[in-house]
Amino acid sequence: MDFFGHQEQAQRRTYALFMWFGCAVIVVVFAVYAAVTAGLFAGQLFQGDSFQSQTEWLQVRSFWNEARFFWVSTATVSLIIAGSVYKTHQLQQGGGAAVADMLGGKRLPSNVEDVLAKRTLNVVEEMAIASGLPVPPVYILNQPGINAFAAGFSSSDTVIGVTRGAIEMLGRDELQGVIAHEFSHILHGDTRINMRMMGLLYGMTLISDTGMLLLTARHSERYSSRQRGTHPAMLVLGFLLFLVGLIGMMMADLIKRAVSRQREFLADASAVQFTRNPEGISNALKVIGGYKEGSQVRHNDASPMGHFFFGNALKRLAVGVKATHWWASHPPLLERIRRIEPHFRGQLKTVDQKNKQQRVLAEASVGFAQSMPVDAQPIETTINDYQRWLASVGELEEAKLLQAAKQLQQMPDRLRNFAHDSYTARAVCYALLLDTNDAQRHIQMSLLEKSADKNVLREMLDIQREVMDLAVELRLPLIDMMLPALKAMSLLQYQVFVKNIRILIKADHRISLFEYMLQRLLLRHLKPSFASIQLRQVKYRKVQDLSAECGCVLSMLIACGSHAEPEVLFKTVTSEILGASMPWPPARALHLTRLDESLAKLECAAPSVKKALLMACMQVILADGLLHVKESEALRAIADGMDCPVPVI
Amino acid sequence: MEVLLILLAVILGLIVWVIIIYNRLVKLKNRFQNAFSQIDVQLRRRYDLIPNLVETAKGYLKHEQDTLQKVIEARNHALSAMKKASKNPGDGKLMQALSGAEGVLGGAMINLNALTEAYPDLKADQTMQQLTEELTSTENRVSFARQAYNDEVMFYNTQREIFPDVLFSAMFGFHLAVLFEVTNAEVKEAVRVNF
Repeated sequence: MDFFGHQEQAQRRTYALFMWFGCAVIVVVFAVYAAVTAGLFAGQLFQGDSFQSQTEWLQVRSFWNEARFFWVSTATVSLIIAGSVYKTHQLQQGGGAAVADMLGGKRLPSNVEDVLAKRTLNVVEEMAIASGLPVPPVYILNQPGINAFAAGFSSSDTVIGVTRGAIEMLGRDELQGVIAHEFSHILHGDTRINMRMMGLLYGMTLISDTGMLLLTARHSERYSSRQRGTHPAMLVLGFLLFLVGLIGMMMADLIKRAVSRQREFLADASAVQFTRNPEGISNALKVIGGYKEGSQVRHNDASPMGHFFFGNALKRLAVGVKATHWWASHPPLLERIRRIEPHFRGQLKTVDQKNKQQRVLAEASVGFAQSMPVDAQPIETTINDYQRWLASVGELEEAKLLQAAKQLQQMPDRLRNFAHDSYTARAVCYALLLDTNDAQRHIQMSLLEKSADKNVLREMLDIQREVMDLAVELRLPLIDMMLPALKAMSLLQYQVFVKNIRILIKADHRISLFEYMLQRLLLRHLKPSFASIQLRQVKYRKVQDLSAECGCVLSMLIACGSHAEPEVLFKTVTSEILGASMPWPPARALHLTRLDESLAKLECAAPSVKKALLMACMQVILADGLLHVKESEALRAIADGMDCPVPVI
Repeated sequence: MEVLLILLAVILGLIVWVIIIYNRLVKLKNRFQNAFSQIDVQLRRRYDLIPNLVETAKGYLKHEQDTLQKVIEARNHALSAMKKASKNPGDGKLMQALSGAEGVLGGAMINLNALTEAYPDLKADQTMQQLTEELTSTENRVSFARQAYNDEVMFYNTQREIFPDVLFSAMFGFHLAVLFEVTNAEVKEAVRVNF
């Protein structure tokens, strides 16, 4: 299945999630109703005839009472919905970083010097650049167990978390396997569903909390001894609600299992496909199996987030024991290993922690300078078949990974260091926007002098040479690389930064495509770190709904190439691939704000529409048999605008 | 009974409200603590550079061992203060200790700089020039990271003092976080002259 197929499937799984949730709510409502009736009945028993009330439904004459059902269901449903709305809102405020925070994660600064941390960042960076995703910030959880997670609504707010155990106990290949597994979750839309699920199911857990509250209410010293203590009927009700709440939580677990457990096998398989190295991930699983801490995450909040993790975060699996725990959020380790290595029959060997840690550290220290072995085979860089290219969207191959590693190596060390530091990364961004024309550059500099820190200006002049000499195809990876460092700015610093970027772009009163793309990439991916996240809903299902927008994007792309007859090309591409005849937009109408609006609308298109449009884009690019840098940059801007990760060409 | 139900609903509403306040404060606290790790990295870089600088200067400043010794001492002192502060960023005492240690180190560095002026050979030394340049850049990075941290601390402190939050912030252990401000040695000196 290709990227778009996975997206369609993710959409269906989201609907399934809502359906399961609806069913669970109905079950819980009836259970709460039974509990309340029983509680009231207990109240009558305790107080006999003195239990009088004006309200008729509070008196239990028969099990079924419509008025009682109405009140109970209204209260329950509103409690659950309020809980879900609240949690979803909270997650929208922080995105993936909120999940990392809840688990007690600390952000790894991208310019960290520690060898093991550096290695982890390198692995993540290579994989992100190979798959065309913005590089996600990495959080570290101070846990001895070996585990990892990915969380986020979209590529812009996604974060990757790894435990200290994972970076200390896993060799580079093993770690790469684990990270590839997490990238599979990101690329296949699982992280998004996990976020939705966490928000939605939170309400279910509130019922048992209410029960707990009733059980413990009025026990505090503030009440006089006569007032203290709860009415016995309330105790019964509280206990019953607590039990019902447990049912709700169990159902929430079941839903999580139904929606996400099978995805673990897919992610394992994808990790093998991405790295072409089945041993990496299977060895990682074996290390977890043989390690006394396993993949455990000791944190109070780990239980509602179990489905985010690489391995079972909750239950420690005994070494070598066949664990078939049907309730667990993840399939048993041995089964996962066997699916990767069908001939694996062996027992899991106990891992000597000290020994393994020393080996990992030694490997990391030696392999510190060079990241990946690059001298494999020459890579096919020319694309001759757009179908094949399209199949690679949202996927990763070993070749791409090697290519990304090679690209990163071509980047001068100094520039790479600059890009990893939030102080100097700004200077790199400014330098990228400097005009090649001396006079224009002069204007830009004098404008910048007024609004930017003069020290940054010095850094900019310092790095200017390297930035100007940088091969054009490395400009995109460079921008991707800088994102985690830039996300570490404070809100005020971010505002100044954005203002300066705009000043630089507008200095010459016209916006070049590169300037547009840089601004768009930066703002799009940085914004979620400083503002709340907008959830994207699929609104447009047919190409016809978006014909003007598709036309705008395509004609802009045509303008980037050197096509002899642009209008003819436009007509053939739109009718052949999009299956819709569109009017050729006049050149005047091609304003970048128009493009911005178009991309914003296209983001809400169904995956099939996005696929068709990307196919059409590829057709346009290949029409003259040449790949211009401008074209590949425009393609990246278009694909990124629709949240489709496009691998390096 | 009806009253009881309404009461229950009100209590539930209040609990949700308090949870929201709590979560908001946790988020802001995490933000400034993460911002401190950025300072941590930059300061470490600086503390690593200083011994190199001193080592290079040693060859030229044979008769100024005292000043060099002071720089190293101040650096070691600041390093241990930073390590302590990074365990619990924002804590009043630890941050003050760090600010103080940083101020002393700044003063020692200024003395060293002043000395350098008197030794043209040392000033012309290539390694020395490189190290000084790198140190200046690191200095700027430290102040940028510090600014980011102070911004986040300011947001956090403001939030915990705003009306509903202020009722709970102390109860939940959200203490006032302290800014990281370095007392500038030069300014201090100037003040002393005026007295």
